[in-house]
Amino acid sequence: MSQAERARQGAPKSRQVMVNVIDTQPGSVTIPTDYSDELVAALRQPFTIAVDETALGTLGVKLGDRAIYAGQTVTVVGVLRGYPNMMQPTIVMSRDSLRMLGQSWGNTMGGPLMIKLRDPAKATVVAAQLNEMGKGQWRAWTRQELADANAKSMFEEGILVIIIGGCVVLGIIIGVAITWQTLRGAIMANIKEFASLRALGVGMGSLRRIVVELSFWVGLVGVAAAVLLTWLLSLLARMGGVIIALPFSLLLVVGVGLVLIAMGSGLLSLGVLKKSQPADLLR
Amino acid sequence: MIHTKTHGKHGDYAIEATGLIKRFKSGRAFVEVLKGVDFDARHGDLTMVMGPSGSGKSTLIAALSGLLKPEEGRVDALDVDDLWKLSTGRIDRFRLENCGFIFQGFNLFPSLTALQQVETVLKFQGLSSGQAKKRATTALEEVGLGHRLHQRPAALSGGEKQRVAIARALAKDPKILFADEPTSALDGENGQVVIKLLRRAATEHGAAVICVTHDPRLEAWADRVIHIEDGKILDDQRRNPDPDAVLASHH
Ligand SMILES: Nc1ncnc2c1ncn2[C@@H]1O[C@H](COP(=O)(O)OP(=O)(O)O)[C@@H](O)[C@H]1O
Ligand SMILES: [Mg+2]
Repeated sequence: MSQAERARQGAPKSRQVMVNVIDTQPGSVTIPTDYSDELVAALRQPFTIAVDETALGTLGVKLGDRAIYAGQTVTVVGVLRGYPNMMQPTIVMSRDSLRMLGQSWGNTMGGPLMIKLRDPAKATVVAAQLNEMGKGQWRAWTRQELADANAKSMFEEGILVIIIGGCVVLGIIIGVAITWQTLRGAIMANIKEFASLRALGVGMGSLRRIVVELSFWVGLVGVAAAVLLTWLLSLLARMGGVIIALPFSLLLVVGVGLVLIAMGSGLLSLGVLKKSQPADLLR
Repeated sequence: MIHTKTHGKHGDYAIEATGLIKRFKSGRAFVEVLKGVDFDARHGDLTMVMGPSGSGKSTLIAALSGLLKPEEGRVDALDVDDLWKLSTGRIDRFRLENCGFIFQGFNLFPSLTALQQVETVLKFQGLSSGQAKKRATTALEEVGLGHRLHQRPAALSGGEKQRVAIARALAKDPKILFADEPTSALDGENGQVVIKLLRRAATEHGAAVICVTHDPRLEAWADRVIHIEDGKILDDQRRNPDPDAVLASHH
């Protein structure tokens, strides 16, 4: 039976989900640090799951609802915040629940292990020693190395790079084109005024300097507008349960980039200044 | 007007040009617009160049002021021998230091106040902000716009705009002041204000004022009237200006 037919017969719709498994034993290292004790306690009950707030709509459930997972009934006992997944809805359950649902990997030794050191300061040294011992049979990461490797692999997956790269390239092209044409238009609109300054003896170099200075200010205004828009966007995203990280270094790069784009456009638009011929005012 | 200082001595030559020839390309042929013009103007004189439209008046001013290089002839201006031998940068510098311009159009930046329009050029001349502001204010007061310092062009009448343009030219305290049809876009009343300001620039500051026009009624204020037609000087008369002449207000 296809999904459409099932839906027509009134059966609940079914979705592919990604499952995050955590060990709910107190002190376990796989419990995200922002989970409350209540949430962990609730997930410790068999056949319970937690769902990010952004996935509630997609899955058609809310807190306390029952749903069917792998043919068995599970209860939504927690709603998470800050764990959106734009590809696929994600649910969280305990390792024990997963085992009871018959989906555990079993006790093979092939799975990932998370280990807590008594002295976290030694993490780098210990990881290196473990790798030395493993001779390639396993790989040990410190927490930071793992996070970096994860982030890196996300970017290596392609689609994200294409989306972000495409946005950056488009942004630069559109940014340059718009600022360039705007500045050009502004200069053209005042070409006679510039020509009258030339007649009074203001050199071409000085006029160029005015235009580049002007484009710098345009860039600053652009940065201010971008700051405002980004802030509004992050508010909007937060309302939708998506938390956007805005590291200062990234903002700085983008801000400087915007000013450079504006000044680049300013340089491009210098050409029209040649049209400011004071002799044209004498007619 | 701006200072009590005067330039040169009344009667000294401020500009002397000989044998000016200027041609424009028109299709395949060349049209000769200036046909060997000799011209001079003196400090303290309001020299008026009159002639019908297309007779080459504007082209003459452009050649005299270093804006349009003539094919032949030379221009000696103030202490510069042969202006057209200088580099473009030096000619710009010469104009910045010595020349004022008034055009038929007012050519004011829409986003700047009257005061800022005048200050801008002064700052390029190297004055500090404070000095520029002081001088610009004085210049605007001189043209009767002391109460309009902070208005933008959109809020000014045509006559007021032309007076801002005049203040911009006079604030530099130019030794040579070029005016191309300065009253054409104005009614009689405003035209009279403008020509009187030019008259004063000559009389009180010893500037050599060269005013081009096809309006014969302005002759009354001139010390000297030069008629040009078809690129040639027809005649050159000295006369006694009447500073109290009246320009009919209907046009
Ligand atoms: N840039 C130019 N190219 C071609 N012809 C020009 C140019 N400027 C002026 N002319 C021609 O030269 C002649 C004189 O022009 P102009 O000096 O502006 O006259 P006026 O100011 O006395 O009205 C006119 O016939 C005009 O068409
Ligand atoms: Mg003309």
